[in-house]
Amino acid sequence: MGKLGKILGLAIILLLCSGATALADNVGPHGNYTANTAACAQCHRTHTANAPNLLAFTTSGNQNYIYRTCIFCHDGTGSKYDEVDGQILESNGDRYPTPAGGFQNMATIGGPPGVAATAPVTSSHIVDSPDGSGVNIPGGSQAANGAIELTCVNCHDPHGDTGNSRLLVPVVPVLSPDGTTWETISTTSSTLYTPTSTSVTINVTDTTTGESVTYNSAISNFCGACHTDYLQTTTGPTGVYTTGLYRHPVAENGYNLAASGATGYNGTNFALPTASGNVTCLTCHYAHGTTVMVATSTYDPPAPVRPATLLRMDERGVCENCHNLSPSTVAPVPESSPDSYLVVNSQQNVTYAILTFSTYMNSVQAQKVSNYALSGQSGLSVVSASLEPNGLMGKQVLLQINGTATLPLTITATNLKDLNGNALAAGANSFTLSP
Amino acid sequence: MQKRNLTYVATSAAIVLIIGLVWLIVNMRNAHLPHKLTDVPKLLFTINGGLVQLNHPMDTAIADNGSIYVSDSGNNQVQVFNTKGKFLFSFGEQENSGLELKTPYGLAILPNGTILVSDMLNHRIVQYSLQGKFLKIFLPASLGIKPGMLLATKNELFIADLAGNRVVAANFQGQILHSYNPGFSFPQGMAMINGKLAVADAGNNLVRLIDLASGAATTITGTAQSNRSFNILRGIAVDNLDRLLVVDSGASQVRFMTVQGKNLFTIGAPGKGAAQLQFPCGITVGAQGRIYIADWANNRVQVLGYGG
Repeated sequence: MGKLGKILGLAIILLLCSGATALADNVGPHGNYTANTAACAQCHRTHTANAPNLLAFTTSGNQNYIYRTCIFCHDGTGSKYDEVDGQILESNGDRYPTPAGGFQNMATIGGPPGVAATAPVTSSHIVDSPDGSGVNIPGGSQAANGAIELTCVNCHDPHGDTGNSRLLVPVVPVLSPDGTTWETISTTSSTLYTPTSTSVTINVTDTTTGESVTYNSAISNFCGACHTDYLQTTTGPTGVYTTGLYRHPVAENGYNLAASGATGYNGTNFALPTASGNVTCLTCHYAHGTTVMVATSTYDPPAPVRPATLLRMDERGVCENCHNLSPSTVAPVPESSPDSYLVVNSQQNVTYAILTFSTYMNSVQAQKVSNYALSGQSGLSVVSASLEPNGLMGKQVLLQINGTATLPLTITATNLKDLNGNALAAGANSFTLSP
Repeated sequence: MQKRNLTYVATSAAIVLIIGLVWLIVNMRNAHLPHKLTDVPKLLFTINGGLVQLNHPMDTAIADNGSIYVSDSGNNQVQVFNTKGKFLFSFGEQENSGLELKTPYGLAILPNGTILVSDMLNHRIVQYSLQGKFLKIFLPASLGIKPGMLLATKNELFIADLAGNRVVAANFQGQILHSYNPGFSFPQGMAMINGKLAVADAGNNLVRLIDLASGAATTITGTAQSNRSFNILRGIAVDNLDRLLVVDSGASQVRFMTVQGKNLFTIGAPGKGAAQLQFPCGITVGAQGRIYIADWANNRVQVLGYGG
């Protein structure tokens, strides 16, 4: 084979590989069906279905048939995307938080069994309600019986025909309050919802320690399909259903942080996700659910059943992280046991230390291995440091330590700062840990 | 001489009678069991629920007295029925106690007469008396296991760790002894056969047979005799003939197979009729040969047997 042949061969292989990568986004029961596919029967029954759309699953108790269909796999019993527990399950047994959060629980620390941890969500999109019960939409119309039916398929197309690997629909369908009629908000004739027909574009980065999603465009329009009045640009009150109220701008193409300049914005401590510097709904909120605590809601009335608002940070941390108004100068405090603790795996000769701080930490210094010193034992070394749950912001640091630690183990953290720029107080920057 | 002959005849007759009686007793006792590999079970009755309808039942366990325990995942409780399917009581739904079950999954009755419940979404295993009294958290969430199906042998408990893609072996005090991972992807039901642990490997659509001493695994693909491959496995059980009963949930069927992987026959078809199943999950074979199938999407338990 000549040089040209080799180059052509390599090019063909690369081309095939790139195709495989593209296909890999939608493998499984959600699209890319072969001519002899068996995938249909994983959800549908042609002649013996129990629910509309020939679905095999039934609404029973407190959960609708669509939610039941999805969690047949997505409760962690059949898909790596465990949306009920808010974690991604790796084949080696490690698990990491899903970028969207969870519906019942949410992974708060990623890692192997025994290290990874979950906590119950404090708020979530209510997608499991039985048919006909409906949920209220903050910022949406309450005209038709005050509520809509919300299920997984309002946002995701299970058949994968969406052009993005999170299967986000280009056209948002909404089931009517009585659970019998589908209304499509892409049609301008709808009196309830603002139409949108722009596909969301995203990038998913899949690493060995989980996945991260970058939203490029249209995600705020997507959310605004239902939360219509919250799709606010910089131009002033534009509420469709509730006029005269000012809303925080979110439209990603009209509100760039650097260009528009949020009050007090400081890029050096900004930890929230954006779409190329543009604020979106998901800059401040998770899509599925959150574990953060919020004392009061600023939703439109009527208050939703689950009041904590899917926020990414406790209380109004997302406001302060961006606006930096009169930031506190109180230094973060290391929390002692049981909030900080050790997990020792003597079989693999490795120790994990979970260090908990009193407030959100800056990820840059918190994830630097050289900022942690071990004392009390020899032969141990810190090999990795990550800020949990997602590496962008968090109150906990997960250290992986080579060697089997025994008590007492003292870890001293230096150069760490919180999101306000406050450093750990000298002399109060060490953790003494117990298993 | 004549007297001796009479005694001989009487003794012989008595022996024949005793042998006959023993044969009759043994056969009466085994009348409920299958005798041939081709024996097909029939539906005996259906359990729909007690105070409330079963809501996506995951698994069953049978006590020595024949009581039927059902993990009623959608109602976050365990419902208990007598041998004829009459509701007795439920447990696990202690509200606001911190002990409420959250999607109970696998069940296992231990030799000491207690029952373990996989409290899946609380990531722990809870121990109760057979009367439903809470005893203790058997395995805490801090161990990082997401427990699915359970299997108790005479000496060990096997836990399908759904998030960890492994099967964990523990003693009856809750101490982890070993773990097995020959490449599992969502291990589900488990059963012991010929000293090996059979595991329904749902994500790989395989049945794996694990040699517990070495950890080595062999596989059953389900494709022998040109059968189609499995389509989302859930439960697995073994009967008195050493047949594997494999729940092919996506196909809404139970396959009866030999341990060599030969397909014998299937029961069930998609639907909610009497002989149909809809995404069945756990399967248990009781001492009397009865088969208990958690008919997940039909919200019921189907009880099958061989008559007699």
